[in-house]
Amino acid sequence: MFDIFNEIIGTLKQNKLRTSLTGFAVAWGVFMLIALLGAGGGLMNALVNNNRNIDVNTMQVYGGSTSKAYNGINEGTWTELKEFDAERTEENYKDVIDAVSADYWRSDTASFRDMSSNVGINGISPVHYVARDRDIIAGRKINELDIRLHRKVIFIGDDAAAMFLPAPLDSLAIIGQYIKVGHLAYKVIGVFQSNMDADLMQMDIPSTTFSDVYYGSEMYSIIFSYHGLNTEKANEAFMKQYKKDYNNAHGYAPDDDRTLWISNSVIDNLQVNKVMNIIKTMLWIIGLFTLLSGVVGVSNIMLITVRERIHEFGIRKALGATPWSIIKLVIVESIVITAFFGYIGMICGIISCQIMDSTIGQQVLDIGVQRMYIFKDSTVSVGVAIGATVVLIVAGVLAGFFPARKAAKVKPIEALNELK
Amino acid sequence: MMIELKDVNKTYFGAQPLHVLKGINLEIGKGEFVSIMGASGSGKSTLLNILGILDNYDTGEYWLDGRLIKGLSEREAARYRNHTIGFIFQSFNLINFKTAVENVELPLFYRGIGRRERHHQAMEYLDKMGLTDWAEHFPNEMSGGQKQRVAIARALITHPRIILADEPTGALDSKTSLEVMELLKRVNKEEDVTMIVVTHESGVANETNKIIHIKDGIIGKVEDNVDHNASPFGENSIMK
Repeated sequence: MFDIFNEIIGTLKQNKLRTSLTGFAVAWGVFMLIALLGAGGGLMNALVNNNRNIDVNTMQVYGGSTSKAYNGINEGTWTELKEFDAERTEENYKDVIDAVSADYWRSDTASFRDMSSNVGINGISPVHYVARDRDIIAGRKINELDIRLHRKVIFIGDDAAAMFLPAPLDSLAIIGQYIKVGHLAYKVIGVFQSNMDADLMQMDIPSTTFSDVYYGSEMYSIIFSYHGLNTEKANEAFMKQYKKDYNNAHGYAPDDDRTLWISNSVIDNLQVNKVMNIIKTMLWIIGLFTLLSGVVGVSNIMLITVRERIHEFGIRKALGATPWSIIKLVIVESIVITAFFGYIGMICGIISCQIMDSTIGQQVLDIGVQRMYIFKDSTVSVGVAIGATVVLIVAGVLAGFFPARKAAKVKPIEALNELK
Repeated sequence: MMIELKDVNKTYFGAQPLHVLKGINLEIGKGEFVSIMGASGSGKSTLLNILGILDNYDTGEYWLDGRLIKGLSEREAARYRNHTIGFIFQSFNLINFKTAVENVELPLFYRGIGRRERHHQAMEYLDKMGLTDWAEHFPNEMSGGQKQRVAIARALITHPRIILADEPTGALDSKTSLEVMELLKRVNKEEDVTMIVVTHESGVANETNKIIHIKDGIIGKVEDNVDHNASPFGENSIMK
């Protein structure tokens, strides 16, 4: 093998300019492939990061309205979730459902010292946070013990905290203080990053406390986490059955699918995955085609080189070179060109990915509703690097194969007669 | 017999089929120093190519060292060329981007001999040709005579049974030609290798021990030339 490399280095030195121009095409192709995959990966990582709750298997069920008249109930009647719906959910679907949270909501007036405002009060249990997480700034969330002991504790947004203790005061000092909601005092246990798209400032209290205080309130939604429904089909089937059971329990038309509105993270997730896979495939295709043009260039140059070296191959054959040894010489030369320049391209690509990661990868876009990454971890994985290496070697073999076969087929006498 | 040809025919099929060899019968013994003489177009180069398994023939039989050379695969042919035959060409056919010693090493490379051993043997043969100082030079830095001596070293390094020389002096002046012929004579004697020289120069042919005349694809006269007086110019003179 060492001898072959010596041979090849000898011939490559003959045509330095041509070799490097050809190599540039390959390096560029690989650079594009890596840079595209890195950039695409960065965009997708950002997308996943911005929707990170989507990883959890949860469904949130809201009331809707009937779409058909049935059993004396008119079309267009608003449907409600009741206490027993939450209990039913917990009891009847034990094989797939892990935990259920009945969420309540109503607006009320919150006040601290001389500040007061109309706010939205959420009665929730910890399962809620599995599906709709809150970013804690300080303190803690509502926990199981709060639920069990019907504690009068409250988890508020940073917008509310800033209103109660405006700058220059430290708004986080609100934790541990008591604020008044309606006519009851609640102890503030934590401050979260508020969602600025909400019309009202939001505050969370334990669902059990909520039921005590606002007895008879309408349930806002049921949230549950579940497992075992991995395909879109299984999820659709479960949701259909869930709606049917709800309709039967409430006396609505069994096949009415507008009575409940279900937001399913798995289906969203599957759809996002599908889109991401399509993007990823597109990037590979674009990158590979860019690389292909480089490979065609190598193949072209190898054809010319073989043409030029016919006489030399004739001499080699007269001295006892087998066709296979000629083929090996040409193919290995082709692999050396593609692999060497390919790696230069790959290194440049990886460096550019790192640069992207350390510049725009660090930028956070604050669009009010949410703080978003445009770009995140735009680095290529080891798997991609290995994949690209395999692609390069295969490309080298392909680029060299036809020229090599041509070189090996030439009869020694014809090659020797060829004028230099 | 080292070489035995029985009614060998060869036709080139082009726009006009060309019957080049029309039933060649030839016997060359072991250790002989033979020249094949003929005008251009007489078929002498074709004959040499067939002897060197660089080209194939249509009908007849070619026996080389007791083996029938017919319908060989490329691989077998390459093996014969490497082990049995040494070539010397008019235009030297050295590889330009390789040094003298690398050129001499090449046949051993195709025999799968290790780097160090190759180099050692190649240096030995360059020394025999008086080219030790030129080992690291490239062909374009050498004179015609030096290049041909490198080519002879390359032909000898595999210890071939026969050496085929195609107009070995064709590109050389008369003085160098004579030196090269002396060298071939010496090699023929010392290495006991069958030497076949194709030429159209009577002076070159005169240096050999047997002259085979070929004309229009048929073997004509075969002269014994042990006294080397076939040339009108006498021994040891090559007229250019």
